[in-house]
Amino acid sequence: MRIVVCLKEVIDLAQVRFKTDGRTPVLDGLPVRLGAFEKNALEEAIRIKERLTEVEVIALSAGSGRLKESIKEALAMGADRAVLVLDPLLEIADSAGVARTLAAALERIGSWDVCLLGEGSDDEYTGQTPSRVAALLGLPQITNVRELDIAGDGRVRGTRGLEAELEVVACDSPVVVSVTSELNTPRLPPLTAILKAGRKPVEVWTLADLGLGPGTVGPREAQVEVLSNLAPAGSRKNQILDGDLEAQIEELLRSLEREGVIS
Amino acid sequence: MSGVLVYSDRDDLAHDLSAWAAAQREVLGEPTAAVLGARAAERAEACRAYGAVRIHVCDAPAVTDLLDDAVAGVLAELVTREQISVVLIGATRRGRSLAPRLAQMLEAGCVSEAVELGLEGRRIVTGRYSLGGNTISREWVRTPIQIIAVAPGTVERAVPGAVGGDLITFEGQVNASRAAVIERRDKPGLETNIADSERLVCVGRGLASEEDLPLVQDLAEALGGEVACTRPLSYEYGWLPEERMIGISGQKCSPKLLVSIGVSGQVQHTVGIQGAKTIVAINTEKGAPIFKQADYGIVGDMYEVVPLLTARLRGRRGGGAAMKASQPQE
Ligand SMILES: Cc1cc2nc3c(=O)[nH]c(=O)nc-3n(C[C@H](O)[C@H](O)[C@H](O)COP(=O)(O)OP(=O)(O)OC[C@H]3O[C@@H](n4cnc5c(N)ncnc54)[C@H](O)[C@@H]3O)c2cc1C
Repeated sequence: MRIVVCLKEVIDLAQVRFKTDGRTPVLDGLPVRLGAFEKNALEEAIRIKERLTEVEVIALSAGSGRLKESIKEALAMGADRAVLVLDPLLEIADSAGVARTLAAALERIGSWDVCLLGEGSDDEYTGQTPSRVAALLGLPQITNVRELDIAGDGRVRGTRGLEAELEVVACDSPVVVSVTSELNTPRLPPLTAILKAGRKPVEVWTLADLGLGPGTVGPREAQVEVLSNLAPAGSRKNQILDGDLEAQIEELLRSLEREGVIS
Repeated sequence: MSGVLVYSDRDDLAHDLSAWAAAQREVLGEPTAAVLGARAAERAEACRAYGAVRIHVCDAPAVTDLLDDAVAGVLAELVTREQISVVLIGATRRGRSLAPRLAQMLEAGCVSEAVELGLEGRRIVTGRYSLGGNTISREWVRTPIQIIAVAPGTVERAVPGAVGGDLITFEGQVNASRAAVIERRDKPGLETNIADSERLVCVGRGLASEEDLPLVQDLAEALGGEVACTRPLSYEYGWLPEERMIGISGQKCSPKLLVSIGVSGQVQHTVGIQGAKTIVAINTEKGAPIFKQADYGIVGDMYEVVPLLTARLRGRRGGGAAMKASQPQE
């Protein structure tokens, strides 16, 4: 069985700073890492490999040259090999462009059974890629999966977490699955694995290798134009109370009463 | 523009979006709706009071399970047949995953979870959280067909109007998914509706142990509200059910009052509390980011502050039981 896990490289968003206006984000020079939900997906693939025999786990990512470094974490966690699609166009591609790239790479990898992705990326969390990849390949999708069972014969059973209920969906492979963080806790690879990761095979493809280019992997705003992307204007009072605790609580209750938020 | 198609697996969202589209009819064209799945005819009947001029009904067995590929197939055909230029979808979990599938089938641009929706001139402008919730990206979809999934609570709650709108049975091809739903289970612990609560006490990892939960439950009771939490308390520790978890991957709330206790205030959490009218934060660390998101802050140990606050609130009521907050809608 062959499982392909799609991973996205994201900037560390806890480190985002703002210009002096307090609203314009500054992203230059921030460290990058693999997305959180994608690691849940990878962890699950590795567990399946540990449970069943003859499972190959491939880490697939499309993006910038920095991926050569960040993908090592996936290899250290236990992916057998990696396929990277690297192209300057991908640094400015929108989710449709990325999906097209991943779908083409999945076709080129060939004969896989399950494609796993995160339910959304740490940065944009739009969750478009799994659905778009599945649509491009004409495959069913099982999204928001929090429990996953893949049998040796390739039958996939995913439990989706919906708002009010859990829904168990079964499907024969091939199928596209997106996962949530309830699925598992990703392992921290031991140092020995990190050292060995550098020796695992990494194949690098370009968009041209996949028959794609500027016409098919459009720039970021080809489909959706961004008018502004700013932190919301702060409108909170930010009043830190002082005095002894009793006095602070008195003042707090007076303020809340005045605002009509307590009865 | 030639028209809007509204769809949601949650009927109330479909009603809200229909009413919104009907109000923008001058600019966006005729509003139509699609009702799919179990009891579709009956549900479509209820939809007639919200402004759609045509309501397409499909209860074919292939869509009863509402699997994304089957539903997207029906909607794509309606879009083509009705020459739709805007599809509004309720951004439930299903809706969020359906919208991009439909978009890809139609080669369309998509916003998968708009938290702001408005018209600027003749353009629909949406806002969505970006950069991990640090920012709001305001954008418009420039492809000939626009797919927009709209988060619950983004547009006004619709009130039923005059009953109109023709019901049309969907006669097109319905392709079943290769996948199948084999079981449905209720989620455990679904007894609250954080999104609709008027007063919330939201607790984070400042809570040292599960045994201490009564501390915050008592405060919630004294306020006539509900207990909510950050992600570690539900996903990692399992102390509270995930329905009470607030943030980008949990609930978005808009209470009158939110008291945030022992919460650091990472953006992935605070995007879920933007809608609160008044926010009070209690945290031992003066520099905790939550204070930047708060109206009132008390720098202190929750184990000292919270019991005192609870006692004072109870005292105000003459020691009696707390008045219950108004019931959540519906
Ligand atoms: C993709 C992604 C999605 C995420 N989605 C969500 C989400 O939807 N919701 C969410 O909540 N998180 C989410 N997170 C996690 C988020 O980044 C934070 O890790 C989390 O919100 C922190 O929870 P916390 O504030 O309870 O804990 P901490 O960050 O550990 O903060 C605990 C706070 O308690 C204070 N404290 C300690 N003791 C006391 C005391 N005795 N009295 C008072 N204060 C005390 C400390 O000073 C500290 O500020 C997400 C993360 C990622 C990567």
